[in-house]
Amino acid sequence: MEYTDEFINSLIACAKEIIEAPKKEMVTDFSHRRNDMRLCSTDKKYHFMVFMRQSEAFNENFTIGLNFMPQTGEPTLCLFRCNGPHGEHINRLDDNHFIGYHIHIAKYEYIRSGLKSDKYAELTHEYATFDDALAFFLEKCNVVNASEYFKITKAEIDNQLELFNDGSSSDPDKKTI
Amino acid sequence: MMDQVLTLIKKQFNERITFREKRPGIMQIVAPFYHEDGDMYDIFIEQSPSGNYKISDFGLTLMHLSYSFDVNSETREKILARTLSENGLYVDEKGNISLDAKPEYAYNAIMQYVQAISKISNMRLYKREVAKSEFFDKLTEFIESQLLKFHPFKNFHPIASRDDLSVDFKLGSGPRPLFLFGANSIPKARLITICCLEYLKGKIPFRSVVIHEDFESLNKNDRKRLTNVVDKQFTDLDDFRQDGMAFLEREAA
Repeated sequence: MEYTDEFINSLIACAKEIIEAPKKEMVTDFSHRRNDMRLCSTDKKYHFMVFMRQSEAFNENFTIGLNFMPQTGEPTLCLFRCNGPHGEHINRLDDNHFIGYHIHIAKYEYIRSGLKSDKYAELTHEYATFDDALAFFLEKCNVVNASEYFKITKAEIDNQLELFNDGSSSDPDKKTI
Repeated sequence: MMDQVLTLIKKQFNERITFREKRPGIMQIVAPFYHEDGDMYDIFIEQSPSGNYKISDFGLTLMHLSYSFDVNSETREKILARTLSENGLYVDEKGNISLDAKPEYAYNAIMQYVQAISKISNMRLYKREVAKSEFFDKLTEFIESQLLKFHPFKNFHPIASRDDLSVDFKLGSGPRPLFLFGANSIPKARLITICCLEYLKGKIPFRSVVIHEDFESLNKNDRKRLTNVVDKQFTDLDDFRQDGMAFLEREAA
């Protein structure tokens, strides 16, 4: 299976539904809270696993990731992962360092170089908390039945922010998703 | 006091290290130690009640590892414990990995800590190689030590002309033996399904039991196909060790 950027992006964006539900509440395991669920593309071609983790000591240390699970027996591949500002990240191929909220995205160039699929990451202003990131993740990954399992949606969070900002400080450069 | 120690550590690292205050009294070490996904190791330093310094990760190493690998079996816990003890580290019940150090030995302690964290972070590599071979070794060991009275026959071929359709263990020598399979991967689960269907097609009298390494790691369709074909499944080796004997005795009765 060749993971071109086009194929990776189509896997991230394809419509998916939850086929194995997450637990109603995050479960504590060691020093972190965790939850998992399984997804299938609505055309039934592709299977995915979502993992959610949040540190108990530092709430800003969290991750929500989308793993692609090939049905051919090939290894699982992490495609997309929303992280909090846990510390520094480095993109090995361009030596770019940064600290902040960031998103790991699988890239053909990295996979071809033998690096871990989710080694590339970029800074984001799309979320600030775990719940916020989860809503963003569910929308970005096109989980069509997410509202059956999760209370918060991206639209609701955006509405809350609008109310908080009184609509006056909306970021015109904010990416649409 | 903390400032003096941080200054000393910076000097020991030839100024190639910095610190960020994560919480009051807890400093995060910013140094070029990275996970394979490009995220920096989560290493913190704080003063311990004894006056020494505690280097720890607040459980973040195991959290990071859990993205692709869970320390959820006795074997894995043993590997973790051995890795830590061999490197002079300890882990508490919350998964916080720590090391105490005197200020003058802070450099050595941090390097020792980083080395151990690297090994632990690479435990995910065991998933495909070590853990799977361990599973069959342990299954074989259990059968050949505890189930001898069922006359285990390893690598049995019920259809003489099909050496690609083997049974891991045949148990019992009666007219309807029990075929036992170990399943530690999706391809193996599918092969077991195919084997059982072929045996049924060939009208071979048998009962079947599957011992999974991790039933949950199979996807829904593979679980469904296998469950529809085999007679009995144990979701992991521990369950089989606990209840397998009673099951086999019922089968033999």
